[in-house]
Amino acid sequence: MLKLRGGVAQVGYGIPTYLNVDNYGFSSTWNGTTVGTVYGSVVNPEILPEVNTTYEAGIDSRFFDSRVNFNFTVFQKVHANQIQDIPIVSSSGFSSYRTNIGTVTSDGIELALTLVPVRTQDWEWSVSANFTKYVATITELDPAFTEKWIGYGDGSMLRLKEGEEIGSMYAEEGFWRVQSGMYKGQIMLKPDTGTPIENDDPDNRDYLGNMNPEFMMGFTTQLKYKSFSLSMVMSYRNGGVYVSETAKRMNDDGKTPWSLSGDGNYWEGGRSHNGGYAWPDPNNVAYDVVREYNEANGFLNEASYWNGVYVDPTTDYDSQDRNLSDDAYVLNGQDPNTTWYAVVNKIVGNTWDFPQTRTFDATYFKIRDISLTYDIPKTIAAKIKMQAASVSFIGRNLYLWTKSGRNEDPETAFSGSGTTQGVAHYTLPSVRQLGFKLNLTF
Amino acid sequence: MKKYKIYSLLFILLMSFSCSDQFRKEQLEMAEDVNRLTTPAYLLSGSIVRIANFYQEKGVNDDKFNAIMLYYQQLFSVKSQSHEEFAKAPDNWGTEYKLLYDTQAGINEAEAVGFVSTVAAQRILQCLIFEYLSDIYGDIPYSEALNGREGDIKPKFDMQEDIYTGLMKTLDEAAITLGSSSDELDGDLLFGGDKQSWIRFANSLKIRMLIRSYDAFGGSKQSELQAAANALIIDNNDFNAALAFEGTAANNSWIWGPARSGGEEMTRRKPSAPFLDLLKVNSDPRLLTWIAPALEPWGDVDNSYILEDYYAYPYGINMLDSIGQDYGDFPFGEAYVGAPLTVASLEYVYGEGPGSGSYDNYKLSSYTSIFVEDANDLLKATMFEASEVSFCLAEAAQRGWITGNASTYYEAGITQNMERWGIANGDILTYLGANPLPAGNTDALTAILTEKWKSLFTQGHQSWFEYRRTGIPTVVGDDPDYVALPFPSRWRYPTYEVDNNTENANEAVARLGEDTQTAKIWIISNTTPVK
Repeated sequence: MLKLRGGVAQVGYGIPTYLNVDNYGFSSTWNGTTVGTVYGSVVNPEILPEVNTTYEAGIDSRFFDSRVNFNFTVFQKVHANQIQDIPIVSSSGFSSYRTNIGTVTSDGIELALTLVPVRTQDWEWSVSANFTKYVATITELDPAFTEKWIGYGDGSMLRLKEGEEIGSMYAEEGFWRVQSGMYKGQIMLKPDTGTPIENDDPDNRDYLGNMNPEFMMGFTTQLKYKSFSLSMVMSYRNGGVYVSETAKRMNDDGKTPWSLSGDGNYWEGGRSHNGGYAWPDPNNVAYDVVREYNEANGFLNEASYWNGVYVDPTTDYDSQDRNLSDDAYVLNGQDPNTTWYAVVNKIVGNTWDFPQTRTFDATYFKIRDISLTYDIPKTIAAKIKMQAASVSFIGRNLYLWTKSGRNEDPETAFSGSGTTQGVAHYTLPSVRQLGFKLNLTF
Repeated sequence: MKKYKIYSLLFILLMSFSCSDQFRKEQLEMAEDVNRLTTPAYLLSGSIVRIANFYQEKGVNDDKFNAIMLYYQQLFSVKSQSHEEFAKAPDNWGTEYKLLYDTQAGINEAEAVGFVSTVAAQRILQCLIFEYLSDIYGDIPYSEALNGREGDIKPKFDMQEDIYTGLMKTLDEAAITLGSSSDELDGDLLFGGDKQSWIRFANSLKIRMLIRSYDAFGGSKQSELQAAANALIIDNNDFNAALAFEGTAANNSWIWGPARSGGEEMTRRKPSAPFLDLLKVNSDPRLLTWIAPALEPWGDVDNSYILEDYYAYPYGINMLDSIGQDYGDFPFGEAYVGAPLTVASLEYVYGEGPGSGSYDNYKLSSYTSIFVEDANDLLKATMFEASEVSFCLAEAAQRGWITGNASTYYEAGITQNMERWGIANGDILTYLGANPLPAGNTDALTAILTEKWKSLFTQGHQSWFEYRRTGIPTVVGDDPDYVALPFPSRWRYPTYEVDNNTENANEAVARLGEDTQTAKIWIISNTTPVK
């Protein structure tokens, strides 16, 4: 049996009245006199109702006595005139403004397939899988808010801009990188400490990635033999990134391997890394500023350093110039005598402002659930005055694989709601459970 | 959004039930009218409480007013009045504009029911905050500000000259209204409904503004200044615009009181050496009211073992060495020791405190215990005091801007300030006798403005605004931080406003030249320091 379907649905909603007026309250008394307070938000006088339109088309099919089921849906959701409170400058007298911020369009597909390869009197085996993929984009934006940055979790930011894909995250502070020559792309370091040059230039914000998955898949399978059934639920997420604030705190507290050895991308070395770097002989250090800095750090035998370049301090060049000739830059770490060394925890501390150093691929595969159930025969159940009874052995959260290879469940970055999506804030991982379950139906 | 839909649905349901009940609706309307008549009073008391508290807190607590004016030094590793600190733009001016909107809401409500005196009082408070903001930044949103309800969410920045002109006009109109109106002034926590006191407040504020902008206006406001000097002003501490603290909870207690700050706000601020030394040299009786001796002074010069003890502190001696401090300069045998300006990390370097977790330094003088009470008669949330008006007029008379005897105003200013701090009459007379107004214009102006600096202790914002104009006391500019670089004479525009009201902010910056802490705003563009 094959069924084609299609549909258009539209839902609209507005805002309550009395929103665009001041409200008064009483906060407390002062020497016996009541003290009034003023509240109130402001609404765009020309606000329009929000309109949600969904276009959907699909195929439902069922073959071989329902042993093959296949569903396919393609959809587009147009969320127009989205009503939101947008922060505005306080000189207007208010802090936020409720207005039609713009339109978000989501395009996506959903697939579901169920197969029953085996079905006999005693045996039945079924497998089902589903697949979801969507992309949401800002397709229209009130010109008053063109390109507005919104602070998000853990040093990241979101951008309101026409054409922006929903879920894209940026680092508020981008690394200041060389723009040309052989050192193109290298992080530039400060000429007095050898740590990354700080900047919050909006044109230099590093793109962290999109927190939304490329696609999600779910699998379930069930094997039945007489009164026994074995079932399993699995899920797979492909793509998307998350920022781990958990990692920031743990790195800073020295509770991760990374906080000892670096990862080669940002900084090198530590006391456990190749037995530690030896500090160079102070007398051989090429630049006075570097020697003085290293001396102030005590020449401890726990050296680490940032991977990057700095402008040769003996020249007159602007130390933030990103377009100098190759010989104006010195590659930190190349020669012990021109390297800004610091103790490990200092370097780890430098990464605090840079979520780039802790943005990870959120791809994972999980076995969420396995259960083995035995249905107690009705005749026996009837003896204990039950209509039905079953006993199961169940296991939950049995296996996790992450593409990033971290011992951190990427789902913890998406388990909350609202503004913390895509940022893991020390959420506890899901707990593995093993147990028995007795099901009685009266 | 899901929640939102549910709320809208609920609302529709509620409406359909309540609208059918005509009788209840009428009742509600009656109740609403009663509220309309009482709301202006609550909004006035609210404005008074919030603005007085804000103003006092800034006047005593903000390092960018008080540390730079050397009332105190912070026990922090970084000097809070350094150029680097001033180079950082504040995040926002949301608190200030919220206060301004609160007054605007109060004005709107009072106007709707015709309470003209309440409108006038709210306008005076609004002027105080607009003047404060404009004195800090220069051009700010003013004529188009507070207008978000009408959809004006990106107000333009007005020129400071226009702001000053507008504010002074508003003050004049408020004084006229208060002088001729017959309605009651309810909710007046400040003056108990006494309209004359509000007139004095308005005129005194105008005098402050006229003095501050006298040169910027090119001397064209002389007759206005003379008229204001002859009008009703705050010429007695009884008329001070000051609100007594209740002292029963965090939000109604003195800024540094334990209920509000836990007490640490005071111990980590130490009276600075130049301020303390000046009080000491002049035998100023306010020294004992304001400043307490060090808890554990350096002892006798012969007890050099103290220095040996000091060697035990790992940070201390090392840092002293690195900045080349001479141990001979240590104030052995002195109980009144002000915080030196040259030393960073004062909590470690120049003595010792209670250890980790709190900031203090037992080798330095502190403020007296009245500053850690939740409520004390000497400490009110103050917006304007008689002594400031007197010193304004003393300067004006000395410069020939108004007629009158500079010495009389000068002595009145000292007397009013000392009385305000509870100094005994005899001590005041002794001080006046020993410190008469010197002859010679420069010396006289220096004496007036130095006394004004002392009298503005706990009103640090006014002190900084005045120093930018007059350069007195010169010791402020001798702070090593400002010898090489120009004195920080304004704050940079808040980043939030610049980022989100960019076009208008850029226009203001273009008029200013550049948005730096040393750019000269209009009000100080035409002044020459006294010395």
